[in-house]
This record gives sequence, structure tokens and C-alpha cells, in this order.
Amino acid sequence: MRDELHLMELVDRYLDGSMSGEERTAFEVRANGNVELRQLIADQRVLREGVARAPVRAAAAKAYRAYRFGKAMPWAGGALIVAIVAVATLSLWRSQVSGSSTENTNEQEPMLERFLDDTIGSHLNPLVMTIDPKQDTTLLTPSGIVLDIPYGAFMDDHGNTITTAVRVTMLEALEPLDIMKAGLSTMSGDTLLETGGMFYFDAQANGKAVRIDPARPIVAMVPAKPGQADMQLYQGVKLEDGTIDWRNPRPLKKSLVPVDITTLNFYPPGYEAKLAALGQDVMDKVFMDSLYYSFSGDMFAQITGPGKSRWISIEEVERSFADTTVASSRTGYTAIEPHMGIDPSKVRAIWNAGFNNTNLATREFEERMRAIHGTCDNAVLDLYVNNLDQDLGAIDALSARMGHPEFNVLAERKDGRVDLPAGSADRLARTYREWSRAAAEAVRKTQEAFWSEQQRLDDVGQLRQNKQAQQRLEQDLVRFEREYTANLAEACRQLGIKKLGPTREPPILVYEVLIPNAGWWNLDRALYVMTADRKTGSWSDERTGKVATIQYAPFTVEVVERKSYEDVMVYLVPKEISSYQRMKDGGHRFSESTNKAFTYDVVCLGRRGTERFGALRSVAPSSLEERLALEPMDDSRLEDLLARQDASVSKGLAEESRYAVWLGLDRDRQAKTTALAVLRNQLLPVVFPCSTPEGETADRRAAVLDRTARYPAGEDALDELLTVSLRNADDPLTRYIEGRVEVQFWVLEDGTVHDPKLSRLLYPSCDKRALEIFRTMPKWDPAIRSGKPQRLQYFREVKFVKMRPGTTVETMIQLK
Amino acid sequence: MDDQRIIGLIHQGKDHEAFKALYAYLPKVEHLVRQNSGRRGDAKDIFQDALIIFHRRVRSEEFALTSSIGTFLFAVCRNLWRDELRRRNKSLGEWKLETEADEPADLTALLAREGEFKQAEKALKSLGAKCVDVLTRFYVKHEPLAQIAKSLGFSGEGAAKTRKYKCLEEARKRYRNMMGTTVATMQHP
Repeated sequence: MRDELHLMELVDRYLDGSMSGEERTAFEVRANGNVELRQLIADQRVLREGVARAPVRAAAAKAYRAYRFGKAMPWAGGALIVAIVAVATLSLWRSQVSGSSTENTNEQEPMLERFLDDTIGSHLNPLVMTIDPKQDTTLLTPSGIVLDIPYGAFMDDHGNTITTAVRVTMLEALEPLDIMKAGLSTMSGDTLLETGGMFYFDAQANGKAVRIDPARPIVAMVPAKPGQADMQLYQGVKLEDGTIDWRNPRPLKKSLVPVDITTLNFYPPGYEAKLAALGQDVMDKVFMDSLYYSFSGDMFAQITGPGKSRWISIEEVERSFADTTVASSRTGYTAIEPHMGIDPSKVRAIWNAGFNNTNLATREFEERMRAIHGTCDNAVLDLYVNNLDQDLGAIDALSARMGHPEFNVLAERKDGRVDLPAGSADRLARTYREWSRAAAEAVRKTQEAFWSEQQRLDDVGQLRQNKQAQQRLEQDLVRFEREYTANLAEACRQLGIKKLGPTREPPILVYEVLIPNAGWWNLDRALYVMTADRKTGSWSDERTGKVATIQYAPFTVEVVERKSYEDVMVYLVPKEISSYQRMKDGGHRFSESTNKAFTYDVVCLGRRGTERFGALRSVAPSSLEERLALEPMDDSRLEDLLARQDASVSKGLAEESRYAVWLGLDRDRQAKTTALAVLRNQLLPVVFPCSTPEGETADRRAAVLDRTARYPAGEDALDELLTVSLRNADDPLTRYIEGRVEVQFWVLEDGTVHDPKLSRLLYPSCDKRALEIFRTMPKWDPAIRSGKPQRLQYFREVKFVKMRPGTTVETMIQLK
Repeated sequence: MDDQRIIGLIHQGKDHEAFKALYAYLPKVEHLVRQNSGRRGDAKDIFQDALIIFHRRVRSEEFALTSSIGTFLFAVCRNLWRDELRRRNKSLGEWKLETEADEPADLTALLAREGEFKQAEKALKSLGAKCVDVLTRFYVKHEPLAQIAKSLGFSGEGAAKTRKYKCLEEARKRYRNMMGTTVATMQHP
């Protein structure tokens, strides 16, 4: 090592140019033949330049702060400094007092006397402390001034750091009474100053006054009184007559007092009030937080299009709207505009204990946060979080310069900062960046998963409801057929007609009914109407004089404590025909007409939450009214209850019972989802105050579209095309059906109707027919956006009616 | 403040005053950087690098001012930022400001050299404040070893010398590492 050290010194001397000519030549010759030495010389030269850069960089950085923040200058180097100080809003300051002994003495220092004659300061008790300048020292005075003396703060006259004990003397007069008693004035030139207090500071080593190293300024924190804003720091200069003139005023920095960050409110202004107004529990912070943070997902926009849906960032949306070529290549995609405001994920990243004891955990920042929400500019929030080692006031000024002049008012307060341990600011800023990004992504995924699951459940639910509706329809049509056949048989029996022809379908149109054989056709028709209307009627055969009567009687059922169940359904089960019929729910009572030719059972099914209930009663032929009490049911008890019924009846009713439970649960789910969606929608303007109002957005979106797609023959022609009567269909049952099928389809750029799909079903033959209509539909005029054809998706209903409009007929079957 | 006065300040060692005045050119650089996918902080960093480069040029003997300080600083910053973008693998396709006519001709060589110095500075900084302190006192302030020992609390001149050697040697290793080469252990012949 010695050799290497020596070699390095040689290189230094060579580089310094302090070698003699001879020595230099010899060294150069040696270097010429030694590649490693040449490398060492080169490296050492570079390293020396690197060393030289360090102090220059420090100077550049310091000058930058002076340039940007007009940073308060450290105390000047004079030994004696008396100052008048006040700071607003600094309330309690607690700090460790460490490192030194404190003596409180009346003994007057000779040095003090030199400056303070008998009229100045003589009534004040000097505080004298001996400190070790080799370590950091914090002192707390009786009036509450905190002195922070860094190690190596004192220098002698030659600028050398003092390592021996330093005696620090302080006088303080913060209260007006003390100031007057001390004979101190508050004159600056000819102006009388309003004072927030004065203090005198002196330091000596070995009986000699010491200087303060400008690079290691001593910091004094002086308790402020409320109402004393805009105080400045004056330096005292002793005049010939022994009084003090206060000169050289400088603005003061206000230190911040951190509080527990979780007690602060970083929500957008009005968020809690709005929640309260909407009847939500504003004491439930967990709920309010998770709801607020969930809005982070709304910072993303969704682009949907044929067969695709994906999430994109705001920037991407802006790009795609800005760049027309991109927009046109994405024809057919609807972009939902993103919301503008402070990203809740960013708030989440700072609003936690990790940022305690920083600028952010202060009442002052809480106030900034409200202003930041008002700007909707995430860059402003970033600015505060990324500069935790700066004064709030400085960042206020920067924010104002970023185009938010409202921050000028805040900047004028010149609020300071909460001091951080070395490296903390960078670490926290990094945490903030990584955290907020991760949180935003997680929220987006959760939100997306939640809402797409709701969509899936909605689809499944719609399908099941369609299926159930279809089954009910089929069941009722079958029942009608059977009851009608039974009535026909009964009428024939009464008329004494022995031989029955095959049952015929009743005609639909009145004018189409030909009457070649009066007996059969008339009877048919009358019976059909009676069966459909469930009303008593008779028909007489003119040839024989015999009269046939079909009797219906009104019948009602009352369910005990009807109101305590969420759903109640009552069914009539005629024993003669294997079928059942749902009674009309009048709220208080259930009613339906009973056919006198049948004997009935009444089955009642109820639901409360997921609990199921049931009851069964055989109805006496003369009974007009029954009263039933429900009992709890499960699958096996329900099976027992329905054991006497036909297999198809009990199967159908058991299915109705299960369906009721499912439907109830699904309705609850939908209601909750809807309530959440409504709540979020109502909060959107609060969370994202800069978003375009909903209506305006819709207008703007419509404005983007020059024209929507059109059916060429016009809207009336389309209506006619989409109103269908299926009287000639193969499936005779469809003749009685009325209802609507919804079809979802695309109109492509060339007007072709593409990919029709059913979004609401009715009955298989109707569904099939509706799809056929769209598959064979003529071309449309496509939608136009920015002058170019644009593919768009539409929804239309196909109406099924028993009659074409313009003809009349009695209603025969009321379809649900 | 005119250019000659700033140069005068640097010669007098009043770097702080000089730099404070020179920061007047920062907004222009900020504009350049922010137009080219940078942030305000990036602008500050490269501007400080430029100040250091300028400072070294003024202090070196061969210095002659061939353009205004503002032009020089701006040209240096533009080049530094271009290098930085290249380093970040950003496309230069959208580069908005082309090389200007009055750009000093030897800038590329100068910046390559300064880049090495900056690496050396980084290597030194990674050693900690104490090492930087020793080396600065020795090489920049030219304090005698005895005084360095006294100020920093070393037992004697020898200890200060050893410390200086160790710091420099370690810095060299780290610097070589950064530059992608290893230091061959030197043997005194």
C-alpha cells in the first residue's frame, strides 16, 4: 500500500505541475512504457475534476434555492444579534432539549455590558448555557423559544470551526411588559413597530465572541401569537445614544405543526355533505373511504365497440380524439369520456400514517388540499407531495405559476414546512408515485370486475325471467285448451249431442267466420268466448229447444298476514284437468272465477327473504271465499304438500316457488347495484368537479355524430314492418300471443344490418320471426360522423299482435 | 448583470452570486426540456450541470468567451438533454430545436469529457460526505494535511494522508465500475 500511495502522490505532483523538468521527463518516459500507469494518471485527473465539481455543485444548488425560493438568509456572522420577531399561527412547539447544562443567573457578563448599557436589558434575566459545539444542540427557553444549534455552527475570527465549549447567552422579551421594563424600544428609523417580541443572542468561546458559520445557521423558533400575521425579522443596531434601531427587515417563515394525518380531511369539498344529504352514514369512515377511492376507476375511460371493450387511460382518449386518423380507424367505438379531477388513488397514497410528520399532515395542507381539488390538476398535488422538503409557501407560489392564481393568496402566508430526516422526502415521493399507480390499477380492476359481474348477472337474470315467462305462457295456453275442451264436452252433453267432431281452432276474424253449419260453429264460438272471459253463459239449440249452460262463479282467497310476506302467489288447481291457474292479486285478496263443472284445490305460495311458505286447501263446490294461513316450506315439504296433484302441476308449482325466491334475491341485488350506481352518479360532480355536466357531454357526443342511421322507407314503414301478426304461423298457439321482442343489431358503414341478436325474448316462434325480419331487412342509410359513415349499434322492438291494426276482435286471452 | 461581471465574480470565488444571476437563463431551458418530454426537475438538473461546466471553463486557463454566456449555457443544456433522452431510450423524432448556428464547435468533445467528470463526481459522492470533505480540502482548498487532520479530527498527518489515499482509490474503483472497466491493481516497479 505504501508504494501505491507513493505512486498516487507522484501522479498528483505530475498533475499539479510541481515536478522539476528532469523529474517530469523521467516520469513521462516511465508512463509511456506502462499502460497501467497511464491509466492511473488519466483516472486521477478525472477524479480530481470530479472532486472540484462537488463544491461548485453545492454552490449551484444553493444559488438555485436562492433564485427559486428567495430563501431566508441565515443569521449574519456578527456575534451580537438582537432581533424583533413574531410569527403567526405557530402555537405549541414541543421539542427535546438536549446536550447541555442550563444555568439561570443574574451575573452580568462583561460582554453584555459592552453592548447593553444600564437602560437596555438590565431588567431581564439573562439565560446562560454552555454547550458543546461538536454536537447538535436544541435549547428551549422559558418563554418557549426553541434554539436549534447544529454542530460546528461557531467559527473563530479566522473562519476555523470552534470545538471547545461555547457559552451562549440569551435575553428574551416577548411580552410588551417585558419589553418596556427592559427599556427596549420598537423604533425602526422614525417608525414605531408593532412587536411580537424581541430576543438577544450572544455566544462566546474562551471569553471571546464567536462568529456563526453561514453554512450552518442557527435556527430559532419563536412562539407566535394569534393575529400577528406578516411579521418580519429586524436586526438591532445600537445607536450612539444607546438606543436600538431596528433595521434590515426580512420576511419570516412559519413552521408547521404536524398532526395525525388520519384526523385531517382530504376528501373533495362537499363530499361528506353530499353523502349526508343523500342519507348515507358519514360517521362510517371505512365506507366513505372505499366509496371515494372507488372513483379512481372512473379516471379511466372505456372504449366499446363491436365485440370488444377495453379500458384506456385519459391520455389515450385525448390522443384518439385529437388524431382524426386514429378516430376514423376506430369507427364504431363509443368512447365514454373520462372524468376530470384529482385522482382518488393519489389521495389514498398520501392519506395514511406513512405521511405523518410531513408537510401533508398539517392543518395548513388540509386547506391546500381543498384548493387542489378545486384545480382538478393532479400536477399540483404531485408538486406538493414531491417537494416535502420545501416550504409550503414556496410550493404555493409554484402552483400559482402553474396557472392557478388562487394559490397566490396561500403563498402570501409564507407557511414553512415540517422538517424531515435526510432522504425522507425522496423516499416518500417515490412511495407516493408507486402507491398511487398501483392503487389506481387495483381499483380499476376491482371496479371493472364488479360491474361486469353485475352485467353478467343481469343477463343471466333476464334469460331466466324470459324462460319463466315463456313457461307460464305455455302452461296457460295448455290450461285454456283443456278447459275449453272440457266446456265443449259439457255443453254437448247438455244439448244431447252424442257425437263430437274434432275440436277445431276458433277463428280469429269475425268476418271470416262462415256459418255453413249453424250448430257447431255457433256453439264453438260462444263457448270460446265464455272460456276466455270466464263468465257464465248459455246457448240454446233452436232445432231441439235444448239449452246448454256453462257456469262460472266468482271466488276469492284471503291470505293471513299477507303483508308480512314479500311475495304471495295463489293458484287454482282444477282436479278434472291437469293444470293450474294463477289468481289475480288484488293486494288484499286474490280473485278468479271458478268453473262450476270443476272441483278445485287452492295452492298458496309465499316468500319472505329466502324463506318459502305454502298452503293447500280443497275448495267445496259451494265455497265463494277461502282464508288460508301459510306455513314454512322447503323442497321436501312442498313436495308432500303437492303430492296429490298431477306430476306436471306439482313440478310447475315447485318451480314457481323456487323462481320466486330467486327473483326476490335478484331484485335485491339489482336494487343494491342500482342504488350504488345512483349514489356514485350523484357524487361524480363532487369528486370530479371539472367534468363536463352529464347533459353537456351527451350534447357533445351527439354533435360529433352528424346523422344517425335511418331506415330508408322511413320510420312509419319500419314500425309497420316491426308490427307482426302471426295468424298464419305453423304453431297455432302463437295466434293468441301478444308481446314484444327486443333485437339488438349493428348498422354497418355500408348500411347493412349486421349481427341481429335478441335482447328480450317472448316465445320461440316469435323470437325466430323477429330475427328473420332483421336478417332479411333492406339496407339502411348509415350513421354519419365527421362526414364519414360510421357503424353503430341500435335496439328495436318487434311487436306481436293478434290482429293487424285496423281490425277488431274481442280479447280472448290476456297474456302476462 | 453583464457577462464580464459574472466571469469576474467567478474568478473572485463568488460562485453563489454568479450562479444566482445565471439562473435567469433557467426558464428558457425549462421551456426546452418541457417541450421535449421532460419535467421541470430535469431542467434544473441539467442546468446545474451546465453551470458546473461553465464554471470549470471559466476557471481553466484556456478559457475565452466565444459566445454569450446565455448561448453557451443553452447549447450545453440542449446537448445534455439530447443525451439524456437518448439514455432514456426516448425517440428524438419529435425533437423541436435543431442545433443552432452559433453553437460552440468543440461542444461534443467538451461534453464527453465533462460526462466523465460527472461520473467521477458520482463515484466520489457515493463514498460519503467525509471522503468528499477530505478530498475537497486537499485538492480544491489546498489545505495542508496537518490542518485537514485537525479540522476533521484525524490523529495526525499520516492518518489524513492514508484516508485521502483510500478514498481516492475506492473512488477510482467505483468510477472504473461505472465506466465498465476494472482497475488493475497497481504494483510499484
